[in-house]
Amino acid sequence: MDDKLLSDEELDQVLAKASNPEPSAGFEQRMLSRVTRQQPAARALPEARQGKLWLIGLPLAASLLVGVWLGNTVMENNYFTISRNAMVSDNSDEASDTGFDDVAAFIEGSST
Amino acid sequence: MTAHLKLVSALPEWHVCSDAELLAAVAVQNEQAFAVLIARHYHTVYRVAWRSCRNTPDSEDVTQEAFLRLWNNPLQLRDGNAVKGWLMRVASNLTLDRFRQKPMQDLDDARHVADGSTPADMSVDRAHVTARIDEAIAALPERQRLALAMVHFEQMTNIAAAQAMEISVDALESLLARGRRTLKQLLAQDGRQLLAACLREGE
Repeated sequence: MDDKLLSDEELDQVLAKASNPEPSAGFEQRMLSRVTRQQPAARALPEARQGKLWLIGLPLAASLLVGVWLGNTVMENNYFTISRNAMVSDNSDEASDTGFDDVAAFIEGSST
Repeated sequence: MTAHLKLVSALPEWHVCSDAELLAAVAVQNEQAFAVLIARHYHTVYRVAWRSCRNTPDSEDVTQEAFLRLWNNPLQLRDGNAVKGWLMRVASNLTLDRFRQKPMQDLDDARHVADGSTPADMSVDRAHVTARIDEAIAALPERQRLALAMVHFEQMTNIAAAQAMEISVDALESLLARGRRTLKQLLAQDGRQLLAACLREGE
């Protein structure tokens, strides 16, 4: 089988006979005009998107500012209420630890 | 008039500019610079496309699409001096996509592919030799074919071709070696006959 295979030098000789294709006449000019003609559609799109981004971005930014301002105001107003609730929670006698140890009291199959 | 002359003299001579300089001009939509880039590279890109498509319309479409991508987004090239390799790689990928999209048509075209059963006594003319070699090249795996096209047919150095394919030089050399081995196997049936025809023609 190896005898049938070409050597490197023989392969180079064969490859030298491969086609050297050329595009059709006028292809260069046709391509240039076609490609550059697509300029407005292809490149105007990002600018259009930028305009739309401003339209969406401004209300969003305003909403964000209002949200931050309102959030701060509410936090300030509720600070003492939250602190008081936390203290009540810490002092609650009803609060008891629950955990894995409590499972021991559970009888399997019991309906009660 | 003087102002006009100053303006003209200030314009760059695009033909002597490097690819990187042309690319920078293309980024600001300079058509003259783009025309020079096209003139400089379209033959190469077309040949790479043709090695896979083996027909003029598809090869021209692929070439145009590759340049269109460059025109629409020139800044995607990190190295401005790697335009040629980038275009070749894009063209190669585009032909692959094209074959994926219309495999049935390619099967129809495959009826022309020689099966290596040419009778030994059949006279082999130049057209047959060329067609048979082109078929074998087109039958190579995509990356092997691209490596071969860059180094063997476009005379790129191994380093430049490796950079263009975004692989190491070792990987490129491996692709080339496998490509040549595959070619030898593809031409095993009638390689000697083709070689004899090549030698006869050379005499």
